[in-house]
Amino acid sequence: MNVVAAFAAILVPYLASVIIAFSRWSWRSKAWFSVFILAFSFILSCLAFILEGPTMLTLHFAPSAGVYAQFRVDWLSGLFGILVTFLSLIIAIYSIEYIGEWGSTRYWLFYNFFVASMLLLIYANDLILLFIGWEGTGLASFMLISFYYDDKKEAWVGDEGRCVFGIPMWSTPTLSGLRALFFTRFGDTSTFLGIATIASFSGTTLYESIHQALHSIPVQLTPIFLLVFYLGALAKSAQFPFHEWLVTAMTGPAPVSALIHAATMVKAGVYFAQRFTPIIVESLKPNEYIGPFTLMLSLSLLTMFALASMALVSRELKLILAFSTASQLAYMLAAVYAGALAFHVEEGVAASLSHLMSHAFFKASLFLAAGAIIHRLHTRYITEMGGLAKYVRITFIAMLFAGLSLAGVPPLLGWWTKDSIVHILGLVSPLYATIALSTGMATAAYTARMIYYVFLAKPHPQHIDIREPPLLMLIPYTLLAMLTLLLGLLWPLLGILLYRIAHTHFTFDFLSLVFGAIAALLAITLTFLAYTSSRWIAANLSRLDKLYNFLYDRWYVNSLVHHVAIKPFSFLAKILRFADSVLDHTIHTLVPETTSGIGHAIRGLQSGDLRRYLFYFLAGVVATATFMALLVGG
Amino acid sequence: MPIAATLLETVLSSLNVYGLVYLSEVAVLAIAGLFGPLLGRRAGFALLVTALLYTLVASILFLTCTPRKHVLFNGMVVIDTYTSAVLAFAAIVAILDTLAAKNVVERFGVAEPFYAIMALNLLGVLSVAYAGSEILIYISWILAAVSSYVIVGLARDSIAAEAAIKYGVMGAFATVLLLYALTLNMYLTRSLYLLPIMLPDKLTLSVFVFLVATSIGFKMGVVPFHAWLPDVYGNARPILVAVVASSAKILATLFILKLLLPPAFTTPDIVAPMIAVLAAVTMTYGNLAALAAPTPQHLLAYSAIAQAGYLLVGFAGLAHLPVTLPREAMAGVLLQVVGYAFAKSSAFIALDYYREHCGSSWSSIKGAVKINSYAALAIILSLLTLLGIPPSLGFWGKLLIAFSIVSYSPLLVLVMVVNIAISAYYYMKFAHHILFEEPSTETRKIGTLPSDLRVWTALTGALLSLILGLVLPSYALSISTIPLF
Repeated sequence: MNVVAAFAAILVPYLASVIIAFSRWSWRSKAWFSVFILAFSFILSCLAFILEGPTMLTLHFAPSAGVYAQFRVDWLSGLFGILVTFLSLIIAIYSIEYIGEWGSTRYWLFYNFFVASMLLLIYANDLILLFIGWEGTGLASFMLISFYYDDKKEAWVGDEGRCVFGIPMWSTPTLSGLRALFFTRFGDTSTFLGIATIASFSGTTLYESIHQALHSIPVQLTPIFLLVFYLGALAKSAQFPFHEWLVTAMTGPAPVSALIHAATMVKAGVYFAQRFTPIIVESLKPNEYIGPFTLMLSLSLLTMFALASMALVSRELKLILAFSTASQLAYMLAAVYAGALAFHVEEGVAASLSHLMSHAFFKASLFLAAGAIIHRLHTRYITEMGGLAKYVRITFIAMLFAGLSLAGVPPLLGWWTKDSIVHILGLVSPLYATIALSTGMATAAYTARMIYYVFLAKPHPQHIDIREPPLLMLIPYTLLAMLTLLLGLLWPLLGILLYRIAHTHFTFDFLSLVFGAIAALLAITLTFLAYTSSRWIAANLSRLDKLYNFLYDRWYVNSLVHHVAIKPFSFLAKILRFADSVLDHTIHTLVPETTSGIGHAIRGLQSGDLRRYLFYFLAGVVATATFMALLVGG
Repeated sequence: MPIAATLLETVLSSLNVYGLVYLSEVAVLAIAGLFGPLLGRRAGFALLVTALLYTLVASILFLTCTPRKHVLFNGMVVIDTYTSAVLAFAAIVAILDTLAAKNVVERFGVAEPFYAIMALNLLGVLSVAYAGSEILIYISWILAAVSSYVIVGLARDSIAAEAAIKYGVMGAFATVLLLYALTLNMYLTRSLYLLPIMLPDKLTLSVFVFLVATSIGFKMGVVPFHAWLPDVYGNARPILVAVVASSAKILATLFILKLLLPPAFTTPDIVAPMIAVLAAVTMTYGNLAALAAPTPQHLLAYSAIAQAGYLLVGFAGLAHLPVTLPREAMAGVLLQVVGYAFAKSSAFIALDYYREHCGSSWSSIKGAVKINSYAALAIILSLLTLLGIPPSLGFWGKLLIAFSIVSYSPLLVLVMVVNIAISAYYYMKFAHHILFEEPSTETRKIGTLPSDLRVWTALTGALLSLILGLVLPSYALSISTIPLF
């Protein structure tokens, strides 16, 4: 471990984003420059993990005010750093052709800024530093979700004109950017409150101080504190009911969805849980944390299931993947909580991290492939695709492997990692494992449905001339898909290694592995059967109309959020705006008028007449003398 | 004869390195002031620059040496670190002003007197900075006062003449009051030297304080002794005002430190409230009047009054030492006066550049950034320092001053903060005029103009006032540990 390399890995992309902001290069130069920088950053983060050296770096900003910047590399941040830089490099290569010229400065500026902020978040050993990186990723996410600020229809999410309880269900890029900002900021504010609590109880915001702060917080407040502290992570990782922002975030370009909204940024919440849950478990008595963690675990299970059920009916390719992302994030978070509840927190973290990695690979691959297809066909709807397997064979194979990994089909990586989470959940309660397993079936079903609609269904007459995308786009997602296969084959070895680094040991739970495989295969088979004999579908779907609408409209959460949270606030805003206008008119007319009136009166004294000035001087002398006399006399 | 012998003995006994350096400083400045004009324009300039640089080097030498206080010539001269620092910055400002004014005064044909007067003016600052006796105080007052009247009148037109006359007549008034004050001080200390006051005769002491406050208040532009200031600063040639405005504040600061601190130690309950009231009145008056300033130059003039008020707050802090923080007050005064000197002279110099090319009204300054962006930058940076934006010297000065006095009078700090808030409006209005207003048709006809020496010196001064804020505060605090006497 070498923290200096890690620090350099953070700095380099930050510098690059500044250079890109002011450069006047062609769009190709900017793109290749970024690729080069990210490759460099990738090497640095590898060095940070491999090289021997100091693991802690402290920069003294304002020591007298207790402001430090502390960075640290350990196994968790080291591995996560490598993952982030690797994926950002691969996805950057894909982006060169995908983004092209329009908005290239903005894109590469925020792309590099994002990577740097993400690394800052990862390598920080201080809550404030973590928070700065956290907000940096949020800013980059906002900028890139609304990348198509011209709001072109191809980038929209949802069906135009579809409303539920009077609330529009579709979203434009600019609106989505704001939604993402507001949703995540809501949680961030709460987490910031948690950080402030820690700072006020322990005096610093170093990770080491959390332990001490937890001891000082009154016991009856601990559960509330934990919920407040974790809320930012829940919002960032799109847990129910915050998942809405991630769904509409799909208005961003596909590589952005792949990198930020699937592979890395949304995992910041998971990383947060992985980072702090062991500290909390170590510092508190079980009865103090069981309550909040059980609550958050239930929330994760709900998210897992709810989002998978939405993915079952969605018609938009990227939306399916977005639902799936939120659902898979819930798996990772659930693993951490379950680890804490089962007193195997290290194993929980290791299971969570391994699924995080495997998900990053296959989901990034799926998003990139989906982006390539949407880019070619100019449609977001899977129902308007179909039969593409013949024309884009490599893309089909890549998406198939990545999809099967998502579905949890052996021997792909997703199968191993998902089932180790099921195993951890089983340690807490068989019920939780069952929920996870049935969600796994739903996952396999929506993946199969997606693959069927895009590649195998009856071809759409317009899209016969589709070809494979250029190599720079094709190679990244094919490579990622192959990686999930390769790593899956090697997992019995790599898994043991990973768990050993995480100070725990790998358990082969044959029961969950076998059940997982059977469940996935069963779900895939059933789905294919259902879709190939389309008469059955047609006969039965109409009967499930209400359920279909409920799922298609995302459990009505969007409308609920609007009516419960946004409406009251906008009412409040109206009141405040009125109060403000009253204040504005009084203060901004009254005060300046009075002041400038006095000013002009004073100016009037300055007549330019020397005799008068001498009089003022004398009058001043007399006045001062009188004042002195009063002072001395009194 | 015996007197001469005693004097000679006194001089010889103090002829160590410090004494020699001090005497050579006086000699170099006096030569530049007295013989410079006889040798012509170029030699005069060379002599002046040499003298200024020599003063700068000598004060830096005094700054680096330990111990921090040297008493020379039987106590006539006291060299200490704090006033050496003030003097060093006075020399830097004088160098900048000289370079900026060079071409202008040569065009007017008044280069020789200008150079001579600059040297004599700095000699005045030097005398008061190291003064240990009332004689030196008085000499310095005369040198500085007369040289300012001459500088203001250098432009040799009717406006300059009027300004110089006003300045001179009011100055004569103040000089008389100062003489009375010095006489009373002789009575109070029973000597010619600036010593702690032995006889706390409250009545005499309060009269002394009152006389010092009025006479030096005149020099600084303290309300109600300020009436000359808007006319002189507002109408005279800005580049000459730049010299007067910066040196007057530095001088007044030194006078107050020398004359008002001794009684403040004895009777803080008289000195402190008196200065506090004057401070509150001065800054409020200056800021309110600046809101209605008829020209940009008048704005800077009224802002000079307001800034005098902030300085007085620092003196009120110094005057009530048991309660307030002496170190912070001393450092605050130093930073405030140095920041003021840099920023004010830069602003006036850059304004001179604009006034020459496009006039002196508000409408002519509109969109001035299009004429010369560096001059605009210099003005805006100066305004930021005057307003007190971190990390400028103005920020640290105001912060430390407010910090030092807040335990003595929270009310005065509140008044100060409100005043700074008011000043933000007109400073930013000025900046807005330069940056964002549409230029008038006349201005547009001028087009872009090349930068001359004035622009570069103004920019240097403005940048110094900003950048020094990063390093000077801690140094100022470190040299402000000792009382002055």
